[in-house]
Amino acid sequence: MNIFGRGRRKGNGSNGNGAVIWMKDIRKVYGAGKVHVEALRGIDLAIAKGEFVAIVGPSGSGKSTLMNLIGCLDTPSGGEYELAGQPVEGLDPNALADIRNRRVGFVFQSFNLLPAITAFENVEMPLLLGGVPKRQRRRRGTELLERVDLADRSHHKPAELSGGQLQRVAIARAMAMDPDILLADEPTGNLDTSSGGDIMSLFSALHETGRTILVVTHDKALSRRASRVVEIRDGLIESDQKSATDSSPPA
Amino acid sequence: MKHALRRMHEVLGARYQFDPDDERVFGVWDTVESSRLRRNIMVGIEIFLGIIGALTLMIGGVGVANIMYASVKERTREIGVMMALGARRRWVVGPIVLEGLTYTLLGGLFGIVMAVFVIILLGMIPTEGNDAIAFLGKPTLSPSIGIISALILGAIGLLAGYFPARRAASVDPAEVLREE
Repeated sequence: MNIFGRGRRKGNGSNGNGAVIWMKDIRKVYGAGKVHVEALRGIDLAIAKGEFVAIVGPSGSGKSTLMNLIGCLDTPSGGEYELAGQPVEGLDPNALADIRNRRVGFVFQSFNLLPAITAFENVEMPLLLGGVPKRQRRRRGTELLERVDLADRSHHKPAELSGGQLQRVAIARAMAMDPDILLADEPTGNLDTSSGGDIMSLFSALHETGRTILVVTHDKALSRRASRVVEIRDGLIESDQKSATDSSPPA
Repeated sequence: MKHALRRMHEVLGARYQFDPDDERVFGVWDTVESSRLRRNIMVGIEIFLGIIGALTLMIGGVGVANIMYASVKERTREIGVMMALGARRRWVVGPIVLEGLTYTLLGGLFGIVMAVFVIILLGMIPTEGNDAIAFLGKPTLSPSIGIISALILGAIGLLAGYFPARRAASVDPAEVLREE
């Protein structure tokens, strides 16, 4: 069952290798003058379509900053970044919003569902923002909630759902626009082992259907499922290893 | 008018032997002048009441803006989430401006209902035998003042929503979505 779809339309980048994420010498400095913090000090990273990458590292290493830059929630202080072949530099806030809407799906540690609306409406939100007509929104929202086994909870508000259910709704929402990459920041951090396991299985299943997934995690069980582990320390990539157990991304 | 008055002083002065330049010899009740004076006082009162009304509207606007600022602050994280999901600026700004306008609109409607109510109540006070009340007359609802206040109220409502909405649009999603 491949209802999440796969990268359609999106062309190969000008970087020439078809990488979904292509970064060269990315830097991020917070503050200015004497009191500035170099969160990232020159990151070179290329992630191909279909990879399942875990970004690990101690807190304060810059991995969350890197996630924000990859997701276009923030802009780098220097360096080049292309997302799905499109240079991100110099885009105005509305263009960046469109990129986040169409190309990136976010999953957060604390779920960040909108509390006043139902699970279904949460899943529908990116479609609404993306201008998808109502009938399609209905169909896609229903499919997505079925895919994460929450069809029977679609009219519940977030306060009526458990942590694991909330995170499944969040994943359905992240996949709504069929994005190029799924970005997850500590997705199992607020979950018990069993719910965390469900979420990991869901990520693995998505990976098998060819999705590109990036997770920032401390959770060894989750990073073991990844096909590649990138370790960050002090704003630099310290190691970058393909997982021995993993199959390469499906053709 | 001036000429006629001057002439009267000269004629009567010659007849009753007084100085025609002495203005205190007799008084003149000038109905044109007095009605002009009365009109001026009325205009003065209207301007005064108008300023009070405008200030009240502004205070109301500040109140609505305050509520909207508080609501933006409370919803900062949700706004950050909306931005992460790809909300363009207008998706963030629009609902907040609309909410501010809705509050002022409801306030305006309530004000009109109250005004009609007060006018009906005042209309019940008997005017016969009471000169002061008879002089004030019965209040009526003035459509032109109603329309002008509605327009001012609309403008104030827009501003009261716009400034908080601008605050909302300047939310930095990377900042507010940072995990604690």
